[in-house]
Amino acid sequence: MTRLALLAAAALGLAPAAAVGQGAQGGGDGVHADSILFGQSAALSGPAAELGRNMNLGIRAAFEEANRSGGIDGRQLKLLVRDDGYEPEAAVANTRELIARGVFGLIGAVGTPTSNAAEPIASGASVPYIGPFTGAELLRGDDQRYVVNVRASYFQETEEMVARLTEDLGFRRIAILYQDDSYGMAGLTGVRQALDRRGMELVGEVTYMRNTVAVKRALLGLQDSDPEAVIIIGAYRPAAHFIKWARKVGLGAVFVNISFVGSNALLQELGRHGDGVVVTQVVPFPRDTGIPVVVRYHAALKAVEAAAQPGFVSLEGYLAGRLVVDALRAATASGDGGPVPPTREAFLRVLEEAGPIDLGGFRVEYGPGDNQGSDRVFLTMIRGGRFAPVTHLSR
Amino acid sequence: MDDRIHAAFAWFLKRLPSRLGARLRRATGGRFGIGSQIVVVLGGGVTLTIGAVVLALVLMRVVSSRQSEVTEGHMPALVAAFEVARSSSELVRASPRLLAAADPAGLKQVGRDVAREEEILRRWLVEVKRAESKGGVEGGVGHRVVPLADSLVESITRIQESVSRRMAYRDRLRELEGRVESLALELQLLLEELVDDQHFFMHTGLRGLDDAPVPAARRTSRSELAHYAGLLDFQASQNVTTTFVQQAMTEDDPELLRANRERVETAMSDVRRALSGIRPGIRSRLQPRVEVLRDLYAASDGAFETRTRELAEIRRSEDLLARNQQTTADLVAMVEGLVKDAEASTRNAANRSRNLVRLGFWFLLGVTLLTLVAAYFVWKLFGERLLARMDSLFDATRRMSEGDLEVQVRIEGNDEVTDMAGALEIFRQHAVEVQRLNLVEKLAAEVQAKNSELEATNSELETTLEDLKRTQQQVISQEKLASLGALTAGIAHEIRNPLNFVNNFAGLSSELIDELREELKREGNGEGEGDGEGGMDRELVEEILDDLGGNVVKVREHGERANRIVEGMLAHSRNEAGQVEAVDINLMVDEYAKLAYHGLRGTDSTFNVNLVQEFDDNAGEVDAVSRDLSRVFLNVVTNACHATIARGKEAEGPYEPTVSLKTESRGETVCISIRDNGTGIPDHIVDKIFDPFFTTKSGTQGTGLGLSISHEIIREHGGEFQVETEVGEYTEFRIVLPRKRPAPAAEGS
Repeated sequence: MTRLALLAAAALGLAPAAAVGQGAQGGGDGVHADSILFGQSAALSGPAAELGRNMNLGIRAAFEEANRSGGIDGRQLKLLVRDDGYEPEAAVANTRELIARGVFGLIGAVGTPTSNAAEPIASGASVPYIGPFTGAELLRGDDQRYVVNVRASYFQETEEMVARLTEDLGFRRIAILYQDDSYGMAGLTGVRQALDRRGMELVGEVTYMRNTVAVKRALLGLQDSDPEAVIIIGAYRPAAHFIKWARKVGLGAVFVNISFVGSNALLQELGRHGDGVVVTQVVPFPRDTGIPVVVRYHAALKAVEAAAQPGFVSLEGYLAGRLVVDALRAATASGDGGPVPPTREAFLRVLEEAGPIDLGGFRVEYGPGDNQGSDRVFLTMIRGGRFAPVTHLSR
Repeated sequence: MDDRIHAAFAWFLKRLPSRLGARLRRATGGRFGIGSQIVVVLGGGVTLTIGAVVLALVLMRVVSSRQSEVTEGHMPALVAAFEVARSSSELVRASPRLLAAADPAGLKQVGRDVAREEEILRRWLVEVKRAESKGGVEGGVGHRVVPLADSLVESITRIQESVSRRMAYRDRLRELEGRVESLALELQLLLEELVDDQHFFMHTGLRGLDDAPVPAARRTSRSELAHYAGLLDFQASQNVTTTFVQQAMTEDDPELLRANRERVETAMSDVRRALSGIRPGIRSRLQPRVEVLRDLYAASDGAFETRTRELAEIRRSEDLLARNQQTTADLVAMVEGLVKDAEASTRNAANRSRNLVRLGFWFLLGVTLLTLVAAYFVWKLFGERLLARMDSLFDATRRMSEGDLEVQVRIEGNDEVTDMAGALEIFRQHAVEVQRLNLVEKLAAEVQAKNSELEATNSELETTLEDLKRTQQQVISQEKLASLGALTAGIAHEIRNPLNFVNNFAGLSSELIDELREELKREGNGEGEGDGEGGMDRELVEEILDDLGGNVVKVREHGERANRIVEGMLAHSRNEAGQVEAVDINLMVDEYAKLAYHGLRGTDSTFNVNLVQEFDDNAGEVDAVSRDLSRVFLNVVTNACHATIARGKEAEGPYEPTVSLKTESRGETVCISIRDNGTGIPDHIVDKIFDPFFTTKSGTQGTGLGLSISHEIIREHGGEFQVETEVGEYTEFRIVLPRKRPAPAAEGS
């Protein structure tokens, strides 16, 4: 676009969004003659940077895999990425900018507070908010039809933890260590609900200060209650610290962590003390080549970044990307007289009306009032210094 | 009016310089002719138009100069004033904007805006000053605005500097805040872990994962307890310190800030005291952080100092703003005045120009009306009159062309139309002359033709004349016979009349004789009657005798008269040629009047007329042919009687026919007038009554020769025969006869 045309557009009071969009030729819904534009605002710096980077990696793997096979009816998928540093304010600014640039949808946000701030902006602009890396209930309201969750919720994870501990192991004495913030409180609520359903109560309830490893007084607090299992809603370092000291003082309990703990870091932190530690996951095991989608994920990941190792987070990003690709293709093919350019409404309608969608061994299903695709929680356990998928817990 | 105009023109010519006057006189012929009138009227119109155009042009020029004064002088001044007002208001707003600026970038932006507006202000101030000096205003608002603007800009600059410094302090404070916060968090997390570690150790005797448990006595030694208390005190005091430092950085009151500092120092001394209880290894980890914290609040660029400076800066900029506000208020008021002045002068100029346009409109309207009125009066004064005159000229010409050369051409005024009228009159006179000549020629031709015709008829006429003479002779003899008839009848009466007298007087005389005898007898008897004396009345006798004598005389008179009548008749018939003799006029008139009277009574017994005689005793005699002259009287009196008869037939009411006969001696002449009160003679025939054969009488009653012959007779006698008449009243014939008949030479003609 020439300077003159830009001036003319400005003079005519046209929306600046139309002028600044990359190769913008058509409407502001991100669908162009040869491309479809998506946006991602996630933490690429700060303590949660690994999560953002891995989500982005997985999404790019899925998009480039699709682009290599002709894109969406000839349209290449493009992803604009903005760093919010896990800050809600930055997430809001990024989201506004991306919507102004006319993205078709927002994908792969990381964290509860960021998603919680950005989602209303996207919904207000009727822009799909796809695959946020959080299990918070706040994004799972039945009136949030622009949110497309892929993963199961934290409540489902804690429910699975309690179910496995009580059903598989017959435990009655369950304690909890949680971070003294909203994340920890969310986990605490989930665990309490799960125990309530079974007429049980926590035998111990201790907390630690975020960003410290000051967990030893908490450990002293649990020694007297003698729990059979301790559910940890926290970060990998204090979690590992706690587990190691608990074992040092002879606390013979099963330690169960939630997916957000950061599985690989936890593994490294525990070192030789890690065996038997359980972590719940919301995606299949990334090295489980028995699952078709994981195989494709490996190939796609290698194509994007040869040195990249498979992981739970990038797999979650990949699954979100794959869901977008499949839904867009369905929305494009839904025209009566051949392919039509996809629209956001068509995209959302496809998801709502498609019924179960099999991404290759990982099924999601949406419907009116149901914006969460997968309800599945996967168990993993550290054995011999590495994670292994398990279906049930045993002594 | 014309005369006055011409007089005025002449006067005007006289008043002119001699050369110009002469030239003008030559050109106009010295009069105010149509050409001059047209020249004057057209010239006046043209002059009026040119004058109006020139004045309109002048007005337009003035209007356009006023307009250009507005557009080039006042409008730019107004625009400049507006711009000055706008940019000064921008400048006025600049200070609050500076104070409200969020960051250095914003401050810079405001600074750029201020610089731009200042430049605009100064540029337009130049305009304003130029407009003012053009308008002759010295030290006007424009000049007074400049120092205000200067001081405003200066104060803005100072505020900007102040705000800039304040921002630097604010940035520094923010940085300090962040560092204090992170340091506090770091210390908090560190203390949390240290306390957690020491707590766990005092419970379990374990410090490291690989260590063996310490015996219980050493877990709670004095040094361990002091270390634990030191950690807890440090944790608390450090919290208080950082809280107060954080508070200080937002403290608005400098006094409270000082108080706050005391508290910080106190808490800091607590931190140091707590630090002394902590184990040296840990203390050495905490000590540097404590020093950092101290530096953060106590250094010259630390929290307190910076906050104090910031507060001072805030106060300074507030002071500046307050001063600035006064300046801005002055400036705004002044600029408002400037704009108002500019508006007022623009409005004035526009009004002046509008008034001029209105004046021009009324002026042109006036000129138009004046032209119309002038045209009307010129038309009335010249055009209409000219047209009327030309109309009359045309009318005269037309009538002349139709042959009416008697038309009167009116020559009036002194111009070309007058010339034309004069020319036409001359033409008319010539035409009349020509017409007369033509007529003469025509008459000559006609006369020539008639002459030959006459010559042809002359012989015929001569023959006819012969016949006529013969006939005349016949007629005359007839007339004579007729008059003879009348005369015979008269004579018979005349003769009978004296005879009657004779008879009557004779009878009377015999009665008188009888009476006389009786008297004479009575003389004897002596008796008498009527008087006292008896006997014969001598006087009576004498009287009777006188009567007798008178009777005899009368008898004799009448006898003589009869004799004379007979003699006259004889003479009448005997004296053919007529002899001049002396004739008693009274006698002849009386005689022939009676003859005429009786002649008429002879033919008509009902006829009666009152003959009145008024004879002059001195009438005497005239020389006359009595036979002819008597015919005249007979004829005239007969005619008079006929007139009374005619009148008597027509008369309504009482009518007394009267014929008056009057004689009058006039020395050498005698005048005889015969007047009747008959019908009179109408005017149209009065001139013809002496013509031969003219008669009013029908049939054979008259020959038409009576008066003609009478006239001829009077003329032969050298007399005059006059008639005076009035229809329905009277007719009087007057005959004046010389006593001596003139020489007989007249008879020869």
